[in-house]
Amino acid sequence: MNDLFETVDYLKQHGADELARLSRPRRDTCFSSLRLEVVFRRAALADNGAARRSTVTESAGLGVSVLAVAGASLGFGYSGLELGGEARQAHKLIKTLRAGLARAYERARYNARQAAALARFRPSPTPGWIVLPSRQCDLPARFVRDPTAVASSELESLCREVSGEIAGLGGEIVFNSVSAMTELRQELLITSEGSLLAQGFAFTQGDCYVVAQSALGHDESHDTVGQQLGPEVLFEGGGDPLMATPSLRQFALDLAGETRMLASAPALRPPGEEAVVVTDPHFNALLAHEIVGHPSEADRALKMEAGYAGRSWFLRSLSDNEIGRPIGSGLLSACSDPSLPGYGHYAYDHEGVAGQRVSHIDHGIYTGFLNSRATAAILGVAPNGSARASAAPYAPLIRMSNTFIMPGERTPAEIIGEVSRGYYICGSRTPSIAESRENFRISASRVYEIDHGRLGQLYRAGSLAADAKRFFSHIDAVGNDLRLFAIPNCGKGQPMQIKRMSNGGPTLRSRGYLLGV
Amino acid sequence: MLTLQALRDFVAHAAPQAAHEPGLRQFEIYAQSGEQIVARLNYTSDLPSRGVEETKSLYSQGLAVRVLTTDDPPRVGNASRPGELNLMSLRAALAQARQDAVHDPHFRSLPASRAPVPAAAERPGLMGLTSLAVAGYAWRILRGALESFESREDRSKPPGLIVGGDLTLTRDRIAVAGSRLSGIRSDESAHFTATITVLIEATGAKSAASAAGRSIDQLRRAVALGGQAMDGALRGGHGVCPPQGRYPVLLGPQPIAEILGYMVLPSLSAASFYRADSAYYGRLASAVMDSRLDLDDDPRAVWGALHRQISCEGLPTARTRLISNGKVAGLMASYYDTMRLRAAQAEEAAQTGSLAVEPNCGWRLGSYGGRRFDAPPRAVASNVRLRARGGTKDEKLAASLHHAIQVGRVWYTYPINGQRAGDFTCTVSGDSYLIEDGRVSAPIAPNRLRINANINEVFNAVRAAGNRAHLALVWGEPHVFYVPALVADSLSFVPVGREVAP
Repeated sequence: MNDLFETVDYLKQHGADELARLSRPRRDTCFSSLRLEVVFRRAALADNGAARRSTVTESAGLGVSVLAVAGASLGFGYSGLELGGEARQAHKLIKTLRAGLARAYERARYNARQAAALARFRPSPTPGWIVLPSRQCDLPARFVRDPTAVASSELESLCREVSGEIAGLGGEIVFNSVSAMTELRQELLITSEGSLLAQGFAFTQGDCYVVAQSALGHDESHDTVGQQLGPEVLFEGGGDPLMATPSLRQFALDLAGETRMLASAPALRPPGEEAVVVTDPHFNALLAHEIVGHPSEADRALKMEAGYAGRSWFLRSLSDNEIGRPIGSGLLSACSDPSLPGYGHYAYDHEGVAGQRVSHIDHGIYTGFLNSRATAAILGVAPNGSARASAAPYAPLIRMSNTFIMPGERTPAEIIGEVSRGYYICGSRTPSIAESRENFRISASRVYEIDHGRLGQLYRAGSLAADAKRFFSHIDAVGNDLRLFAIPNCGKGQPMQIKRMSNGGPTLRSRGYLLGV
Repeated sequence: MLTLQALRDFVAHAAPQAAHEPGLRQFEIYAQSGEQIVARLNYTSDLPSRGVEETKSLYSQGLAVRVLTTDDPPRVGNASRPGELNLMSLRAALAQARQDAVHDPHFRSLPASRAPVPAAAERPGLMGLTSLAVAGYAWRILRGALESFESREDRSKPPGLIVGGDLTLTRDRIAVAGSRLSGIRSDESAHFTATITVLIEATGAKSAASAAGRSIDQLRRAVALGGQAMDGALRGGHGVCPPQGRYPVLLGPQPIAEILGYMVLPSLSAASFYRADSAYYGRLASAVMDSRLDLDDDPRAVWGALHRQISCEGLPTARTRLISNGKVAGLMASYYDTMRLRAAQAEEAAQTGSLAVEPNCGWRLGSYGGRRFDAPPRAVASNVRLRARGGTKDEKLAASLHHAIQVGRVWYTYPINGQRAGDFTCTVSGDSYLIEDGRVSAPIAPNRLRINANINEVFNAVRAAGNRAHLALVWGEPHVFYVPALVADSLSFVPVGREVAP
C-alpha cells in the first residue's frame, strides 16, 4: 500500500475475516464492528493580516466495538486508536486490528458479566440490540476540486489576504482572525452481520472572528461557513440552495462590517414584559439545535446523558412523554434529514444503519427521536441511523444530521410587517439551556426594534429567553426562507466528541422575553 | 504505550538528524504516546440500562515538529505524523513543515531553555492500571450508589433513579528536543477524574460528587463517590423554587469552578489580551476581584491531580500567579504568546503594561484533555487554585445569611454577551438549598432557577469566603480546580420559564 487511503481498500477485502476470526471461538460475542477512516486535511490561519499557521495532516483512525452477552445481560467494549504510516504495512495493520478486537471483547465480556451480577438492583433488563440485514455501499466524496490537490500556499494566502482586508476596514477593528480548512475523509464500516459500507466525504470550512471597539462600545463576533464540498466553495461560494454560502472573503468582510456596526450600537434595554419576537433563520438554527435537536436524541431522552448534558423534556418515562402530543403551534414542524446535502449529510451511520429523514415535530405534534440500535430497542421502534462518532477511534453517540425547523409559506417581510411593536432577533451567538431543554436563553448578534411593521433601532448584546413549549406554542407565522447553516463544533459525550452538522430554520414569529446587559 | 525511555531514545536520535537538515535555523521535535480509558456509568431503575454503559479507550502516538527556516524573513513551519516513531516519519514531517512554513512577523524563535530538567516519573500505580481495573472501579462506584439507595427510608415507587457519570483515566508520556533546548526533556503523567451524578426523578432530586487524583489510593477512595452522590440526592428531594429576585448567595466549589473555567480563565491568557477580548482588558490598574482573593495555576503542584513538569514546548513548568490581592498579576501563555504580547506591548496595543508573562503553560492538548502530538501548543491551565485570605470555616459561611440561596451546582455557564463583557448565565442544577436565618433549610428544585449575572458580582462583591479549598471538575474542561465556597452580596435569580428583564 502506497498511501493511507489504500488501507481502506485492503480492509474491504480482509476486515470481515478478522471479525469472524474474533467471534468464531467466542460464542458470547453477539455483534462486532470495525471502523476505519483515513483523513487528509489542509488548514491555514491568519490574524490581523499576518499568516500564523499552515498545516497538512494525513492520518488514519481505527475503532472496534464488541457486544458480548452473559446470561440475559449485554455488555459493550470499544477500543480506538490512531494509525500512521505503519498502517500501510498489511501485517502491522492486521496485528493492530486483532489487538484492538481482543481488547474490546475482553471489556465487553467483563461488562456483560458485571451487568448480570447486578441483577438484584435491576427492575429493568439491559437494553437489547436490533439485528439488521447486511448492507453494502461505496459512495464517493462530492467535490469539484480535490482537497488533496490544493497547494499549501492557496489557503494561507486566502486567509492572510482576507484578514488583511478586514484589518484595513478601520481603526474600530482591533482584532480579526480568518481560518480555512478543506478535508477529504474516507470511512469504512464492516459489521459482523456482513455489512460493508464505504463512504467518502469532503468538508470545507471557513471561520472568522472579529473584535471591534468604538467610543460607544465593543463587540465580538464569530461565525462559520461550511459545506460538504471541496475547496472551491472557499473561493467562489456556492453549494446547495438550502445552504448556499458566499466566498470566505465575502463572508468574513460581511461579518467584520456587522461587528463594526454593532460596536457603535447601543446595548439592548429590554422591556420588562413578554414581547412579540421575529427570529431569523440564523438564530433559529441554534434554536433548532438546542431546543429541537438535542432533546430529540434518544440517549438523552432515555437518561443516558443525565450526568453530562442533561435529559429531554420530550420524554419523562416510556409511559409519560410527549410523543403524539402537541408541544407547539400547528405551524411548527421540524425534522432531521441526513439525505440533504448539508454539513450533516451521510448515507449510513456508524452502526451500519441507513440514514433517513426523522420527523420530530409534525404540525405541532411531537413525533419521534433520533436513535441508535440499542435505544431503538428500548423505545420499540426501528433504528433510524443516527449513531455517529466524531472520528473512528471514538464510540458512536446519537447525533443530529441536518436538523431544522421546516418552512412555511409567509415571506419574512410579511411576518415583520404585521408586527405593531416587537423585536427582530438576528443571528445566534451563545446558548444557555435548562437541563432538559425546556427553557433557553440564546444571545443574538443583532436585535432591531419593530415599530408598526418597520425595522427601527439596532441593538447589540440582546438575548431571547423563553420556556420552550410556550415559545413553540405561540408561533403564529413561519417563513418560506428556510436556510441551513454549518455547525462545526457540537460537543457531546465523555470523552468530549466535537461533531459537524447542519441546523436551520425559516423566519419565525412568536413571543418571548428579551434580556440585555 | 511507549516507555519514556523509548520516547527519549527517539528524540535523541532524531535531533541530530534535524540539525543536519538544510534550510533550518531552529527546530523542535515532540514525541508523544498516550491513552485515555473511560468507563461510563448509566444506570436507570425504570428504563433498560447496562450499569456501566461501556468501557472504551483512545490511544494516540506520534510526533510533531516545529521549524524556523533560514529564509529572510524566516518562516515558521509545523507538521505532525501519527503512529510509529521513526526517522522516515521525522524526515517527512520536517519536509512538510518546511514546505508549509509561513512568515509570521511575531514568531521570532522557538522556545529556549538551558536549565537541566530531570526526567519525571509518576508513581507506577495509575500508569500500569488495566482497562478492566478501571471498569472494576466504575462498577464498585455504581454498586456503592445502589447500596446506599437500598438503605433509604422513603421507598416511593417507582423511584426514577438515575446514576450517570464516568471514571476516566488519562495517561501520557512526552519527550522534547530542540535546537534551543539543552538535552532531552521528558515527562509522564497519569491521573483519573470521576464525576457521578444521581437523580431521583420521583422526588426531583439531583446531586453529584467528583474526585480526581494521581494515585491508586486516591482512586480507591473515589469508590465512595457513588454513595456520596446518592446521599446528596436522598437529602435533596421535594425542592422549592424561590421567587424571582436578587438574593445573597453562597456559591459552592462547583459553581465557582464553572464560573472560573468558562468566564475567568479565558480572560487571563496572553492571547485574550492580544485579541482585546479579555474581561480584564484595560483593567489592570484596578481590582478585578476582592482583594482577599488569589488565583494561581500550578501544573506541578504537589497537591494537584495533574502533575506535569515539562510543558509541551519543552520548558519547565512553574506556578503562574494570575490574580494576586484581587488584581491581575499574570497571564497564562505559551512561548509564542509571550513573543506576540511583547510586540503588542511595544505598540501599546495590549493594555498589559509591564505585566510579566511567562511561558508556563504551552500545552498540546486534545479535546479529551490529554497531551497530543497533533495539537498546536496553546495556553491552558492545569491545577487551578483560588485562595481567600481570612477565610472562615465552611460550616459558618451560612451563619451570617438571613434569607439567601446556597448554590451547589450550576450548568451551562457561558459568556452570554461575549467574553469581554463578563456577563454570564447558567441554571442551578442540583445540590442547592435555601438559607433561612443562618441555617440551610429547604432544598431548591434542580433546573428551576436561572442565574443572570456578571463576574464582578461574584468575585468583586465577596461577603465571606471559605478557608478550605475543595476539588471541583467542570465537564469537558481539562483543568482541575481547588476552590473555596464564596458568599456574594447578591445575584439575580429568575425561575426558569418566567423570565423578565432584570
